[in-house]
Amino acid sequence: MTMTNKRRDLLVGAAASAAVLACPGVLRAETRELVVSGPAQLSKLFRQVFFSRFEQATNVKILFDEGVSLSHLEKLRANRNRPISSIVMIDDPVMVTANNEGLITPITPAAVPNLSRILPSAIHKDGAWINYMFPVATIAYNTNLLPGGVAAWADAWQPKFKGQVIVPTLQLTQGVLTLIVAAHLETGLPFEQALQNIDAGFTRLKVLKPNVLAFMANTSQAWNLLEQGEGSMMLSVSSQPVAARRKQGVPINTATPREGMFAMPNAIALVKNGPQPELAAQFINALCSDEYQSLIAGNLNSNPVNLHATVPAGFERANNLHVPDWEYITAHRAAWADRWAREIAG
Amino acid sequence: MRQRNVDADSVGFLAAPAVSYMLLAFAAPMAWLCASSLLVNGEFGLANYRQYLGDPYYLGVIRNSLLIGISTTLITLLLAYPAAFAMAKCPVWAQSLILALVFVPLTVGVIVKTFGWTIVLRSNGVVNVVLLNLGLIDSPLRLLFTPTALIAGMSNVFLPYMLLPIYSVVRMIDRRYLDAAASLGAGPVYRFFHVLVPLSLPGVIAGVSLVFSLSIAAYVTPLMLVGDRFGTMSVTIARGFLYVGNPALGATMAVILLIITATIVMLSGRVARGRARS
Repeated sequence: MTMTNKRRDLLVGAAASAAVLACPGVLRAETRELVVSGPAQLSKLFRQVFFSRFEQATNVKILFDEGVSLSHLEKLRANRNRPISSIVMIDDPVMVTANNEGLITPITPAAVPNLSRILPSAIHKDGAWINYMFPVATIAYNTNLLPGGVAAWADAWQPKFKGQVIVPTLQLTQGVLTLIVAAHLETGLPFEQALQNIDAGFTRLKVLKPNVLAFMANTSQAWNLLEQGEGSMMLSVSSQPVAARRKQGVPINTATPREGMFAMPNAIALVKNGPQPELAAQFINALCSDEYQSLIAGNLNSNPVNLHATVPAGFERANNLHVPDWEYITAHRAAWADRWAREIAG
Repeated sequence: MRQRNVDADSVGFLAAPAVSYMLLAFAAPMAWLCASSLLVNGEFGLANYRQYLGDPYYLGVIRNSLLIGISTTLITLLLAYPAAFAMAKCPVWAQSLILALVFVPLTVGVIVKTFGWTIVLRSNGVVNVVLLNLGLIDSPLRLLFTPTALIAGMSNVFLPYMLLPIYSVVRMIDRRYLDAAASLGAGPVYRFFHVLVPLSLPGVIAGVSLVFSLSIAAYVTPLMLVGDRFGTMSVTIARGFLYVGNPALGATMAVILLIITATIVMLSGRVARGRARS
């Protein structure tokens, strides 16, 4: 996506939000608009794949309010008494906070019957929020530099990759996955228990430091470094954008490391006291349906959460993705971030 | 006397919109920021400051920010000072052209400019390719994600803020002072240090205050050119407020940053006034 497009989308989004703010409630009800807050980088794909389909079927106009998870959380807090969005699509760890603060309301099987068709591991806190897709979080690599690919997370620690490994910082949601992997490698425990032994993760990650090109907070810049070959591999990244980039001829690919892979936490929830709750539930129901879920693998390069959904030939459905305990992570994140700044980043 | 008071009141009234705007948009948030840095468990005190200023890690962060601020200021000063004189001596059309060249980079966003530096400093970037082809190095140097890269990028981003104030002062210097000094037997070096430097000082001080306060508080450029490796105060402030939900850390660091910047700006002002008096 080009910069201009991004800016234009942002402007449209901002103008749309402003328009909704300015219009009286009556007018909004008449035009049947549904405001969805979600990730900016997926705006175009969401519109192509889901929104246009839903708009045609229901005669509803979806206004997509773009942003990052934390900015959406701030907006939910600020508009608590009169929410503007009906639906919020943010990362699970931020959902944990939104749920603890009573900013979202449970998705019930009565309002969303398709809830019964999605994986139990995609439903959190009795339906407080759900995952609508599972992009794989794994290792991405530059195919020119590493034509043989990467077989294991442990490979990143090999001395031959000195100064070549790009690592997302702990500020990013996926940053914690590197810590979990490191704890797993240090203790030999499965990911789930490795998370409880995060000290070991810090110990093992310190050893990685000579191999680290940079700890990145900006994912676009990190992808650029990998694509240009400044780094040969990037840890704990979402596989979601990779297929589209490969089609454009960019020399990158994702690995299937033998220790296992993670599910990126793409979650959706109903905003508490949000406008048009029935319409919002209808959209989430459609998103969980076999029809919409069957569009996910081909268009968003991610695993559908609905097991009845089909995937195109050639798409390898990743089973047994590990879904980390985001509640535990959220509770410890501040302390880990402090340790990360002192022990890992410096 | 009475008449003068009425005048003063009406003049004061004219400032009311600006003053109320600044009170609302600047003074009130600043007061809130200071208060939240002083508030610990519902009580006011200096505990936050004791905690963070007593922690070698955060002292290192403050040192890093000061290092960036001071290096960027010195490098831009060394580059801009002679350039400002050269510009002031150019014919008017050339001055306009150079001014345009200085202004154009300001219209390019800081992210774009910084991103450009990440390309220049790569292992296959211009700098490494030139050094390799000249035979000065055998293998590409690691330039990106080092403090050196950061200071090079920052100096580029902030150079116009040093050049413009110095140039605007230098071009107003009356050449007759130099002629007078020469006619009294002052050599070129003496004329430079005892006539030109003091006369150009107001511009230097304005440039130094601007560049130092901008570079010590910079966020985007450090984040993109060194990332997490080189912790700065602005990155720590963002971490406190945005990522770890520790507003006390963010607020305390922000107030420390404010105090450092305000001290430098006020000291510069004092030096300028002192010079003007002498």
